[in-house]
Amino acid sequence: MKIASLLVAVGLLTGVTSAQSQELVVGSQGDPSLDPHYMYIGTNVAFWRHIYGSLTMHDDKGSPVPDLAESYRLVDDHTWEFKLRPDVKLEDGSMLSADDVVYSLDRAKSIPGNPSPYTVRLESITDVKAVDPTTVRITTDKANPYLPGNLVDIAILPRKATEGKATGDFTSQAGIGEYGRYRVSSFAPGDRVVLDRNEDYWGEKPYWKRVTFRVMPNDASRVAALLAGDVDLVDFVPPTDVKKLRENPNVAVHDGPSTRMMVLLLNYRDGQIAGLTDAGGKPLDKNPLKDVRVRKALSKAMDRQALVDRIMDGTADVATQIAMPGMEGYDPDLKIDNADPQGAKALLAEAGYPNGFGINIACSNNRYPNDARICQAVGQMLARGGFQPKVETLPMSVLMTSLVGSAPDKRDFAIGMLGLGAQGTHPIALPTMVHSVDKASGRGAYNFGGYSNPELDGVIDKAVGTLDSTARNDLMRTAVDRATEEVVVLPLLFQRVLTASKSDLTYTTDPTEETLTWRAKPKAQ
Amino acid sequence: MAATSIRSIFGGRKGGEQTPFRRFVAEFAASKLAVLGLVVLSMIGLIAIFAPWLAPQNPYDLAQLDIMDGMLEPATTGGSGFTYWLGTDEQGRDMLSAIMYGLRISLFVGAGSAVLAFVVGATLGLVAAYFGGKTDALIMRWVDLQLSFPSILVALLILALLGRGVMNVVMALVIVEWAYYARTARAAALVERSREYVEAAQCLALPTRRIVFRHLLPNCLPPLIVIATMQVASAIALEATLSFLGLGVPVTEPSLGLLISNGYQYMLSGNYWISFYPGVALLVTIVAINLVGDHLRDVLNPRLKS
Repeated sequence: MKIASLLVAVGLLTGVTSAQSQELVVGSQGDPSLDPHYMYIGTNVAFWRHIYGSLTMHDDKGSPVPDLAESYRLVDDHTWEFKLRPDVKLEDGSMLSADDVVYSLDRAKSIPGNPSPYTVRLESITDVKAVDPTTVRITTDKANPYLPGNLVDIAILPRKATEGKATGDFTSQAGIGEYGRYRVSSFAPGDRVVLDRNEDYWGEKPYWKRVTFRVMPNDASRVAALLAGDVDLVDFVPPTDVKKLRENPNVAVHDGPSTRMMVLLLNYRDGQIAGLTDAGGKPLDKNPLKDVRVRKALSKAMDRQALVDRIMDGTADVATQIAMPGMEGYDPDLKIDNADPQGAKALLAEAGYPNGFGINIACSNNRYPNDARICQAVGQMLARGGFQPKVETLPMSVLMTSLVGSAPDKRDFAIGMLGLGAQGTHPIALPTMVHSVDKASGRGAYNFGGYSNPELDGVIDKAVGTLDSTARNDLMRTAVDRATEEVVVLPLLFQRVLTASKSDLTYTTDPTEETLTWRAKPKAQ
Repeated sequence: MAATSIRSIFGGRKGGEQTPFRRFVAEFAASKLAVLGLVVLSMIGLIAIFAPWLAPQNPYDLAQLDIMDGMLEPATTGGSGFTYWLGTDEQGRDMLSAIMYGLRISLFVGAGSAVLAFVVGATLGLVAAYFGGKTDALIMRWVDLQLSFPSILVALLILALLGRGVMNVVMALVIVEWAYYARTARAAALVERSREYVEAAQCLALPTRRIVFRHLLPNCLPPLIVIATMQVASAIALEATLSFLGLGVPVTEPSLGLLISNGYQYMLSGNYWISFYPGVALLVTIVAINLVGDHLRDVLNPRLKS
């Protein structure tokens, strides 16, 4: 009792002091890279947003809004024009210019040995031109309505301060030309980054004068640090700890929707597949997954609500379709039926598999929250629905190897589970998982099962090239509805972003899972 | 040494007119603790062997699990009217059944790897001692080399190469543990080798294989049996560690280590039972084996005898 009240007192005390001194300490899962064009992962993007900026920014719903560009418009179907703010003051006192944009968009493509380059966000761009010091024109090879949304994730660097600097040179704290809300005060890779507020920032200045990111990749130690009062805010709270944290009066849990969708991919390959077997374990001659009745049986067997309630402890939302509310193409009329194992068995029998068949489910065990648990539960549900599932949980790298296989015609998985994140404003499952594989256009990049439906391809191609947003939304919805009808993939759930802080702070999460410290504010204000 | 003195009192009274085996049994029975260990161990062994008939649920049959019964506290009755005496994990797996089946895997892995490692290690150790020279140097340096690495590291490496699976874990444990048997067998055989009965056998021109396995081996057995008992316990612990780290058995067929690992994440959330009961089962098993092993060593080691 005494200890508890002491802890409360200490907690309140540190909370008050951190708010008064306007210092925020964040327990961060990611170890940020100071080079904003190196390694495209959410935690890095969240970090560089503190010290640099981008032409556009997403609002808290995920839609692009002007940022460094005060406005943008379509000049013609293939050309976007961005007008820069005139008041973005750089470290050396000069102003950000169109030339810096040209330089940055080029640099983002040309980082040597980049394990996860930002180029996916620069696709279809053929030319970037500075028309005058505050105007940039970007030409695309085909009409690309998503360009402003894509540029949300490309950091704009000042040419003068950073030209010629390699990623390794960004580890030094001097001379990387930060002009965003904060400047780097000190940087110890793998340990912490300390940021000081940039008093010359062009926009609304953040509340916190000093922000420290402490690198804590281990979930349990991050949570423990928050409970001990060592940090004020932690990101990526493990779902299993949410209940306990909610009961703690010194801690506030902030959750919000995430665009990350847990989805099951199916293998559509012809011929024998090792993951699809008869009762004796021999590969089936005919791929049963090509029969839509079998796919519908899979979906019927799935109890998505139970996954959300039991495995995710309520920290997820049932996926009724491959789009989530607020995304283009989301169809509010689509409902997911309740789990119906008997119905699944009936459909299986109708398709000629009255006793089911052996089906392999492969998933990761180290990538997404509760990935291995979701997978086991899926196995359980399929078993009740008349299938004979076998669950394999693998490290992410091994899972990817087995999904990609040595060649498309040698892929032996039956069902693979992936988490598709950072979707932005439209369901990227459509062009990447439902669209047939097309190396030239980059479509179907995650369509490991080789699904191909020319009619759906046509709708998707048309949608992503339509500039009129209403028409595009209608096309997207048609594609979402068709993909749902055909059960091309099985969306399971959308995760939620889980952040926790001391109880005297408020915070708004972001669907991109980015931790943006200026959204944390003391409650009193 | 209390155990020794107790044994010498009882052993002294009974010794003499009995056969060596009976004397051994009497000496072993003298330690109440060791007998208790043996009884517990036998019970655990029986539970493991008859788990499919004893366990209320088959935790490996996904169709029998009900996720809606997940995370129930011990002694709660689930939706299907079935009472889970040790609670359930997040998949709705009955912990009591899971522990019974988990014991099966743990004991199979422990005993299986011990037997295989015994065969490999003892053979190589005897060969090294009997032939001496280069053969001896080669085998024993290899043993030295391997013993200089922590066994968990070697096992991790092997499993990273082989992948998960019960048989792969057994393989890894055999590769890790044969060295202990080899070293012990060699030490014992070196002593025996210079004895007259070996010389006599050699004078009779008996085949080497016969001398090594029929004459040397039986006389080197006592220390090897002791090592084997100890190694079963350490193999079970090592398997649990490997499974805990996610490299051991498949998730759908959890061993004790994997059950502990599954529950570990929920410890802070107050759902202690998922880790706790498998942990207790593991602890009891290992303590029982060690009690038996310790006492076996006392009985079988001539140097500890007064």
